[in-house]
Amino acid sequence: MHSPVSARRIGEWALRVLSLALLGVILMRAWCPSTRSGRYERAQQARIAMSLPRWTMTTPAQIHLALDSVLPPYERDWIAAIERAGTNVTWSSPHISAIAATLTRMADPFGTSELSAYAKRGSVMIVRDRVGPIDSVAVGGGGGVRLEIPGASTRIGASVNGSTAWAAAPDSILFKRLLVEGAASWETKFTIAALAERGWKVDALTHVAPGVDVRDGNATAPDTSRYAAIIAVDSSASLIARGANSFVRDGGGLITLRDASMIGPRAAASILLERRADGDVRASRVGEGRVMRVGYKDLWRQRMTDDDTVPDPVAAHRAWLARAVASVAYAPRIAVRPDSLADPAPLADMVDRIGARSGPTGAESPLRSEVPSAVLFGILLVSLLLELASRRLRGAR
Amino acid sequence: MSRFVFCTAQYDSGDWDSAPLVPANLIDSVAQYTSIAIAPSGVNVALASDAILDYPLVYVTGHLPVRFSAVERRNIRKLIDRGGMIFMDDHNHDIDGVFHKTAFEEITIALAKLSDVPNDHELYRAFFKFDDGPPTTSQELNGWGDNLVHKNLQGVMRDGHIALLYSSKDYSSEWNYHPESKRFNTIDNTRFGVNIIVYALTR
Repeated sequence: MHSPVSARRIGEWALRVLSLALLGVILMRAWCPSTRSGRYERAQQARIAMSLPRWTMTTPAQIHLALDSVLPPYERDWIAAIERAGTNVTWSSPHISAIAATLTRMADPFGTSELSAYAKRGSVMIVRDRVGPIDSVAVGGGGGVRLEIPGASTRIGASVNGSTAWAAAPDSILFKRLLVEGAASWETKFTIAALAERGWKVDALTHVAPGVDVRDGNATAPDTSRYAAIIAVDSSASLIARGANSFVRDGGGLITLRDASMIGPRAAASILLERRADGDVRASRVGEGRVMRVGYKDLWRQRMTDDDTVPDPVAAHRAWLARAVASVAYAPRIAVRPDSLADPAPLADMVDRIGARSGPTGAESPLRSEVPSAVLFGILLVSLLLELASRRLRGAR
Repeated sequence: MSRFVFCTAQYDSGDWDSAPLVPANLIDSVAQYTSIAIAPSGVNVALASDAILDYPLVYVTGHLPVRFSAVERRNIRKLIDRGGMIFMDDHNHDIDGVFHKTAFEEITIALAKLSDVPNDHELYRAFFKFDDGPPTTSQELNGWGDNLVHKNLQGVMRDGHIALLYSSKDYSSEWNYHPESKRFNTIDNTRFGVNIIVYALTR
């Protein structure tokens, strides 16, 4: 059995060894920063941006990210780079759900694009452009949302719970002209007016009397090199009737209104697009082109309606016709330079870059996180003081 | 396709039906000279009624002071905003007359100030050609009313089109006869009426 004095000396030696060991660790940390790589870091989303520079310099062994929403692209890029430098990155989130969006240009000079987006059923999706929110929509049963976005926005965002998918149109449309032909009537007049107001360049041929026509533009035989779509208003549209078959087979679009239904090629099958009490709208594909048969009576009355539920009847009439033309028009597409800021599927991209959602692994649990050097220095001081006090109290120098 | 229906506006003040044979005469001319599908008889529709919007060309005439109600003014604006056109004719042929003065005021309140329609406007080439602008009327040439031959028609323009055409020439008297009597004219004096209808339907 050791005497109290020898036990005290053993304790003093232990404190000396501990002090030297701590001093060695502190000096090594100071001289060799890479030796700090055994550290574990955990960060909430709000602190990630400010932590990135430090993580870049210290390369911790593991970083765990507690996320509320998908990381923005530059943070994803940065963290992926840190991961490639040897840091094990994991993340978890109780809130994040998948969101994805695509943007397709419509053949509409007004610049309308179609946004197709996916998000969790029942969530509220906020649609935004670069300036701010422009609309919101509840995500229905299938999880899919389809919206027409007016104006020439090049990039549209769809946000759910703070995660935003940014979609950019991959191409631009080469707009050709429209040919509208019919007898002098309100239908012909307001069809021409609505499409011109929408921004289409319209060649119009209005038959007033035998041998007397009113021409706007240079109405020529239908040809896909000049026209995107041709619209026959009534059975007097003889110019269109003569060239409609070949025009459609070459890829052009044909719209026939109620009194021109006998014009153009017949398809074996057609799909029903709309139905009202006075008729329906059917579409079919013939060769390379598309045909839409509008069975509604007096479309022009949409423009003149005094229905309080339609706030702007002129715009509604214009939009209806523009949508009809966009759905059949021959519109060659030109690829544009990819938008570097597009982020159509942020969660998928994040998983691709830094892996799937996971908790911190046991080997790098928070309990093993590195003790800061300041604490080690404090322990060193206490150890030295205890050793010194012990020696003085027993009378040694 | 619905046929074109000639519409005469009934307004609360004044004598809106002062030229009852004009519609039939113009309908006859349109049917005779053009292939426009036109209803064989016109309609009289209250300017204060929503039904007026079913007729994008509206004919307004009278001798007496014109004072539109708020609803009538609103409907005039609606009709014009949606692409319709109004043809208003002073049946007095008198720029010092009550119809002219009050109609000018009402048009200014409801739409805008009237300005001269240039005599080379496409209205004068819409179907028949009138190289000198609006054709004269026998009322002008005989010195009735204000004893003036008016050089121009007036109009309110919208997007380059005539939205409201105003005449001091008294076409309402000129065209107010039975179509059967047209055969006695050397030149059909309703031809300019055809131009107005063709213009409204095609521009």
